[in-house]
Amino acid sequence: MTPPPPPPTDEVERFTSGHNVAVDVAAIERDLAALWRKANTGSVSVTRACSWNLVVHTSTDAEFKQAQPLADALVASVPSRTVVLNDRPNATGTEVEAFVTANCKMLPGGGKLVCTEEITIEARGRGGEHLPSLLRALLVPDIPSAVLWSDLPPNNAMVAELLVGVDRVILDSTRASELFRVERLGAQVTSRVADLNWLRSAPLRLIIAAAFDAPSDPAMLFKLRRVSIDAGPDADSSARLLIGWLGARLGWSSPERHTERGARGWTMSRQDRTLQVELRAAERGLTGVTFESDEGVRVRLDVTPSAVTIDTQGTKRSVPFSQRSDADLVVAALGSRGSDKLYQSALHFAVELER
Amino acid sequence: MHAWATSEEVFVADRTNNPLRQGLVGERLPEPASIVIFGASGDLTKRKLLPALYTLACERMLPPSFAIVGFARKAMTDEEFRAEMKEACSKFARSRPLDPAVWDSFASGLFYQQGDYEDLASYQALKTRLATIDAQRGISGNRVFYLSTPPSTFPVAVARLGAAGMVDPQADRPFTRVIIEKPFGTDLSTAQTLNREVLGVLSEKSVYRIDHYLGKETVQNLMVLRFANGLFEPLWNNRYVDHVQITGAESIGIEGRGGYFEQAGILRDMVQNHLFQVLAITAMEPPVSTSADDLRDEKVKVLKALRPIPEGRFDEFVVRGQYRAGTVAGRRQVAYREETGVAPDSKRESYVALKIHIDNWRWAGVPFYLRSGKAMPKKVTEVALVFRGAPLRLFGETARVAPQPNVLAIRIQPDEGVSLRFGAKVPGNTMDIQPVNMEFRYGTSFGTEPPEAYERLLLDCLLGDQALFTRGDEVEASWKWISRIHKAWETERGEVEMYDAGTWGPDESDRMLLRDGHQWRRP
Repeated sequence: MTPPPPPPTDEVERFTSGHNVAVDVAAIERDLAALWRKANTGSVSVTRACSWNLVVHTSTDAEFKQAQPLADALVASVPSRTVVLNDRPNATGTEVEAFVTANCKMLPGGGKLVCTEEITIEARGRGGEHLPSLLRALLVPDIPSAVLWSDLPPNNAMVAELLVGVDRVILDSTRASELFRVERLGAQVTSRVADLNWLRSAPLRLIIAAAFDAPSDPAMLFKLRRVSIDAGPDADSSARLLIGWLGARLGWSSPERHTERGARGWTMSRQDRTLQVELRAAERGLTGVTFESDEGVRVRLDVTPSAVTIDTQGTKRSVPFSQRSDADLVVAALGSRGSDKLYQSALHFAVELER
Repeated sequence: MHAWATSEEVFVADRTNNPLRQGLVGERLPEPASIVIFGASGDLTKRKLLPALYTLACERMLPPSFAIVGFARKAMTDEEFRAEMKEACSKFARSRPLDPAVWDSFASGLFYQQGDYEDLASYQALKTRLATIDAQRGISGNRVFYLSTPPSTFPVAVARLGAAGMVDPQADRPFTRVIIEKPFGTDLSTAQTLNREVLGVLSEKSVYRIDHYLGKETVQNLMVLRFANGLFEPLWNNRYVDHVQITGAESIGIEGRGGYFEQAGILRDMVQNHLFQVLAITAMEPPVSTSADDLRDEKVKVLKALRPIPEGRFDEFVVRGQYRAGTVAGRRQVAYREETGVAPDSKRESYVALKIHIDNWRWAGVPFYLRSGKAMPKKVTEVALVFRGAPLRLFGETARVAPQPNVLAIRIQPDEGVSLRFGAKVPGNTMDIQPVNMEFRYGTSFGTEPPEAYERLLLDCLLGDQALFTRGDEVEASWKWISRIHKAWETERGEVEMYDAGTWGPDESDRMLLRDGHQWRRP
């Protein structure tokens, strides 16, 4: 395998070709401006584009490694000033270091290089305490800001300070065993909370909804006797959010928990009826949803990574299905889908299931 | 249903009782339906319609139960149709290369039915076939008929649909919608006749007269720019705007379409539909809501307020041109009169420039200059608002360069975006002023490609949203104004001004603006 070429020795070239350039922490903005000025003296004009301040907070090596390609993929769709905060409270060494780099692409037709900038701040030990104030100084004015976690944010004072004035909090509850933490965070911040776990399952919700379009009778949804969801341990919170969505939309209430034949289940009520909702163990992912009505009508959705098969009383149709990349989900989270009112009600219902 | 739903808005598939559909944010998923494309073997189907539908499928904008039925005279099997459409989508779809899983699912809903547009039996056979497909695909009878056929077939196709019992103007459910391609008539009288014939069978709410310009992202952005920002609208009137220029230029010639273009000319081909839509959206009052009728009411008011050109003075307000041989972007372009299918002494216009006044409170005294032409230096469509100068030339004495007017330019295609020109002080010890541009570019700010116009329009039709389609009275109002020019050209001895291919049109067009103290922008 050919080894990657060494980074250019020229500082400006390193900067515009996506390599980190160390800058003075006390003067990040000034050093960055100087690099842009120098970059603009060449034959190609450089345009900086920025429509969001995107802050990525990482606390582990794995998260930090994941953040870099995600940020690169994101700026292709949402030009942003990306600030990666690598917060390592247990690490030793220089408390705070800063690096800058640029992501550039040539506009069609050439002649103009459009670039976004990325600032990485590495904080070790107590250096993390400086992150909120550093961030406040680095946010580009008059454009919205989002903070992104690849999991749930840690519950500490620094994070709480980081969230002040932020327009959107993006997290991923996929691995969350307790969704009430997400609901609590939502109550604490004034910004919108967008959950990648919820956005990831948006196509499935659409397909489930479409399964009850005419000529199917949507009235069946109000005469349900049993709803079963097959989900692996990795999709447990997704399955609970799905139940939350169904419950909130269909007016279910008072979930009472029970365990039956190894499946977790709840007895729900709707007006004068009761129905059983069960979460059946699957090996991996969310693999199926079954709706059964009092009148014996059965709608089954089998989910594979590439398609969903809808079986309505023996009539089958297949709908292509594919997962969006994490970068696509974050783009969606920054847009209108990141402020989904349905999410709040689904989350609230899902939290009820935990009680 | 609104065309421009805000991020907060909930999209609910119209009139369904499906509770799970309610509240699905950001997704506009239509109900199960079949689209029947008349003229399925034609170029538009291959280049635009099927690629747009395939891209919608890729973006999961089509319902799981969906079918596309090609209908044309040519004999073809379903499999041959699928193969032909696969090739077309591979070449022209925005989502390329084809995703095998999406294609397989999409192709399973593609069917072909041979038939004659005039033959009632063909329609009855189509009706039977659609019923079979409905049963196979789980569709409850919703239909969209897309008339992508020669305009002469529109009345007969609609009449046969009616005679075969395939449309019910009174029924909301299942729905039947008919999309009619342009041109909708060739003058006021033919447009009125066509409206009468179509509305004899269908109700206005089932008729979707398509003008693909309205599906363009930037045309819709014009409304967002005006009505979603507090900054621009207060300046959008005769107090601040000096004049408006609307340009729709194409770098290509007529590309072998001599037969068609000799009949149509640029005034029918571009101005009556596309540029007049852009004009109406630029000049209209804020609509009461974004519903289809509120929006179209405002556009119609603009078209009705266009001041008729006084009899005998057409030359002052209209310049028609025709290209001579020349060079466009380094490529030789033959003269219009040397194109295939064009008469050697043809007076048909390949260029037209108009000076239009809108007699209403907002625009009184502000000329709107429109120009459209073939074989121009480049392909560009834009609207430019040229503002009045500052009331006092404070820097008039010291500035070495006279300040230029502020211009707000909305670029519709290509390189979609908005730019604002204003004067800035040149750094140094003098008070020199230089025009600079503040630019917004879709490609730079959003990083994603805007959807193709046909994607948006087909989706809107499936969702029952007519806002981006023209209404009967709107079409007639535009023809009423345009037809007078055609009549004048037929009766007066006006000459066609010649221009070299690869230039911005005849000198007379420049002179028309110069007489008002203006000049065309170089887009």
